[in-house]
Amino acid sequence: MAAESCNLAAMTRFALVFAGIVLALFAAQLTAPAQAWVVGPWTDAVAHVATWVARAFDPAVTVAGATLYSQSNGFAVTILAGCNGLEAMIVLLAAILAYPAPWKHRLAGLAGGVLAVQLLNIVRIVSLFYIGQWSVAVFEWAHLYAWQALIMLDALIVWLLWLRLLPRIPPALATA
Amino acid sequence: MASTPSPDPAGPRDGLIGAAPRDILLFAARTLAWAVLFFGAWYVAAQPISLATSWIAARIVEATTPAGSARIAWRNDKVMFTIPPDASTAYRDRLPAGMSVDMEVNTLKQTYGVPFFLALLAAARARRYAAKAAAGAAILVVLAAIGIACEVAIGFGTTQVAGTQPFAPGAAAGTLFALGFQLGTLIFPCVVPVVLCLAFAGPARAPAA
Repeated sequence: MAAESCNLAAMTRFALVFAGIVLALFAAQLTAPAQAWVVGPWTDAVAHVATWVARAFDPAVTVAGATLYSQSNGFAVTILAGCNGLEAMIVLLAAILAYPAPWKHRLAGLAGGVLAVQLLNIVRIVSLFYIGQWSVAVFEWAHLYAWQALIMLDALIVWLLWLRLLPRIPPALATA
Repeated sequence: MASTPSPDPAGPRDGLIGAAPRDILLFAARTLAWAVLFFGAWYVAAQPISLATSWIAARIVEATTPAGSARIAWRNDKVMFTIPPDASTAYRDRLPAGMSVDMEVNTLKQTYGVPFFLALLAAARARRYAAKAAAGAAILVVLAAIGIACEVAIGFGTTQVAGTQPFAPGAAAGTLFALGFQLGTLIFPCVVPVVLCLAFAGPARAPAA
């Protein structure tokens, strides 16, 4: 009974801290200074990396700001809020920070998580760039629904694997 | 009596949390497989799901803005909201009778969390799937309705009717609607399904000795 209430208290604490961090960071990234100093430059950087990856097999791809452009057919996509991977990173950061773990492991989890989310996000952007050239209807579907869910599934898998790698908490401390 | 070390080096764990890496990757693979089925079914049933969600959204809009009786209709894979100003606003602004603001909303942006959640829950092999699926879907539909209502309220608050703006939200209300719209499209449909799945997955089976 004591262990159950302790477990419930820990889960409640995790949920509250998680929701608090998500809401605070999500609201913060909507502010003008965050858009100018973090979101904008980050989005441009994501666009440049995606262009660099696409150029490995398609030299006709070019970039201007956060817009990828095909010189061969004129198709272009602009990376906006929701497509730069920041939301998934915020959610993952909140989940890692809300879970009781040593800071060393948290930082390692954040580094690995950012890498995993952004790697898949680059795949998303490059794939959408070519899906859009093939079919606008499929592009809309993949862009608005499928890839959103896949990125969040990626964050969930990273978090679950990170939890597994945490050192075991001695029972005495776990119930303290 | 000598204690036997746990077969799981990480100790006893619950649900998806703390599952073995192989089980986590299998869970991801099952989610992708179930997602094909549930996203397909959701797309086929887009009209009833969207109309049900939009009906709730219309009631929220009526409660939070100076809107009269809001009407909804399915048109071109989107929901058309017809929002008349309420009687006092129409009288104050001397709006012609029958004036309304029409807005087309792609409600699938807000409701795709339902198939995502059902796929996650199926992949997690949760016990009492039907009850948990129904409860989670209901929560997601209400959250989707909040997101849709915020999108409609933003449209209502930025549209002029007969040269006047029937609804001009203040700075705080405008920010809340904007935040609700952002949460409704970027957080509710993709984060809440994950949270619900983790909450509903239930205790994991004990590792085999």
